[in-house]
Amino acid sequence: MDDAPITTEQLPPLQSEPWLPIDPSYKSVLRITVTLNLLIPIVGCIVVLLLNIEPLLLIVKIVLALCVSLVLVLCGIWIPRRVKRTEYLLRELDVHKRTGYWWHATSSAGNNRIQHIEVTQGPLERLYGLSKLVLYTAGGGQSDIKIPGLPSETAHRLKNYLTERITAEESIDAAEY
Amino acid sequence: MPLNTEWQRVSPVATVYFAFKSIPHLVNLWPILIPAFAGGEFVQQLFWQYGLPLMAVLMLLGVVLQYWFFTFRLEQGRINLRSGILNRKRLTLDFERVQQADIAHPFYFRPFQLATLGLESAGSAQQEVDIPGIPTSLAETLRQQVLEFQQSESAPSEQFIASDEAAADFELKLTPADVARYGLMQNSLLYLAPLAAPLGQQAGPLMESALASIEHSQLFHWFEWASGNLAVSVGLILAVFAVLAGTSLLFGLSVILALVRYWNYHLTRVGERYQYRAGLTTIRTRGFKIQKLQKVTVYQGIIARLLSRFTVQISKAGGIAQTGAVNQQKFLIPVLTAATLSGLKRELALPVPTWHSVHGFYWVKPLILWVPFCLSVTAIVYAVAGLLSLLILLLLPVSLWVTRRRWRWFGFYRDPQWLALRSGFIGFSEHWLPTGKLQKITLSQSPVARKLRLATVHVWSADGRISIPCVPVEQAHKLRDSLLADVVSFNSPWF
Repeated sequence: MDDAPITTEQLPPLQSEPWLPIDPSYKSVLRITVTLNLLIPIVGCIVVLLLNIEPLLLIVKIVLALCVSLVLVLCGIWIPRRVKRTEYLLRELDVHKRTGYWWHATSSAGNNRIQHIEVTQGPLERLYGLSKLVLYTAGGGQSDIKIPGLPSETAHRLKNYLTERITAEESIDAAEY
Repeated sequence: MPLNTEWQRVSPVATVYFAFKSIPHLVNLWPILIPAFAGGEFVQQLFWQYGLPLMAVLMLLGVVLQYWFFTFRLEQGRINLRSGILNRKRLTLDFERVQQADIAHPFYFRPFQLATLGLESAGSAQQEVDIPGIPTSLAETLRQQVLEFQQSESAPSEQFIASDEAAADFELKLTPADVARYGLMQNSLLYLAPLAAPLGQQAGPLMESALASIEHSQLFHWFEWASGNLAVSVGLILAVFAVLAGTSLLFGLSVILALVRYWNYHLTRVGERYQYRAGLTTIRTRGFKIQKLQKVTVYQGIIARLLSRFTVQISKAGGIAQTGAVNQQKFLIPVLTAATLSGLKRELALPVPTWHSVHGFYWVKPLILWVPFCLSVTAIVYAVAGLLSLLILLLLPVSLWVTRRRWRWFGFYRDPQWLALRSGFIGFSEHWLPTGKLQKITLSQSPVARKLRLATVHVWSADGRISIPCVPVEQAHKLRDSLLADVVSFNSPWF
């Protein structure tokens, strides 16, 4: 790689690029996660209702209604849209992820800034054969790029591809300096 | 000077360093104090007779063992350290990874010509290594080696060391008066002012007894006059006096701290290497190479503005891991005048910026919630207190002025090498990031921003994040794309 400035042909505007979607089965992982998280308050409320603890009944009913509607809204509206809108793009020199249904966010990093790469898989993801690709940069905790909901085989393939690219770039840089 | 490549121990004087270092750990022993104070007379007697001396002996033994187990070995381009008594730790630090190298000369090392070499390494788990009690000449040689390592992997030339301060390409010295100004320039002390009253009150009883004894002195007359003529109670005057006394005490302490830390401050640049030397009790030499630079922050608080002074902080990779006390590891130029600031900016190749404003929604946004809140509070208070509540409405023009002024001060600037952001109200701060070294760029849009076709550009450097909100979306896309182009075409070592 020479020191010539990068042209727009090498880095065309992102919007027109062929973004790749994540696996739709990631919706199920998110749905189960959301339900499990809200299950604790829901079960708590049901217990109070069953025990018929008089002064708490009204508050508990309100909390229960809120929790159940939250589960319904998140699982029915938010999750499908969020998963549909989560896309990634790997180019020769950089890597991107965009996500968000209400709040949109597009994150980008140069391949030459990736410190290390990780593929992680939680138990729910394992159930659906999915993995998460995490790209770490040196900008601290929030500066990682996490691409969830990738088929495990794809995640490992991408990891190997990026690792090779980074190693190749590093050896070119080392040769230059 | 040929380096000894065997495992070596530091000077026995370093036990003093280890003793000082173990003092904060004593806090962990607080449970021991419970029987000492809550126990019966017998337990208390046991504690004072045997417990306390035993603790002192144990601590002393710990210090000696720490010294004994602390060894280091030098190799070409790296240093190995072994430390720890029960938890043995072995650390290898490549000079190439070192972000900053300090030499400290604490007062207890000075008579023996010893120093502490502090090395700070890059990485997400940023580490700091201190090698206490090594001869000053060795510390200097190592520091030079570390700082020179990237430039040429051979040992540094003696000539470079000799020419260090004599032939500096740029230098800046601070007078004690300037350093004292830095002590005064701490905005945070102003926020502490209301809390300073108790401090002042410590002087209160003393003052009251003094007042009683000098009842007929001029000071007392003044109090009496003030309370009589201004129709305020002596109590209130005393309270104001307590706040003023406490605040002055805080500022006085701050000035002393500044003098201790930055006494005789001398900043030099030789080639690509910056270093400063300063300190009263501990003279510290801190240096870094320009290629390690990740962010330059220029700031001026409200007091600094009154004094027409500025502060510059230069950060390198790993700054995000630094919090609280460790924050003192930053490379700071505490006091600059407008002239010396522009000189330093030229040195760092910072251009003269023309700031771009962001969209006016920046000043409208805080008011969207604030105005209805003020109106509702006014309505509620009106029901209770009547027309007096209309005074609350005066807050509205004030908040309008505040948000408009903040918006006018807010701006960003982009040139081929730098991305800069300025924000401020009475004082200001400017953050300068070298664009080629950016780590991640994110464009985000809230639902409202989407309607207005605005976006926020978040930019992560290796020393934290800056955000530019309310940028028109097309401009934000262009900015992101051009920053990314800078990142991927920056092939020099970046940390």
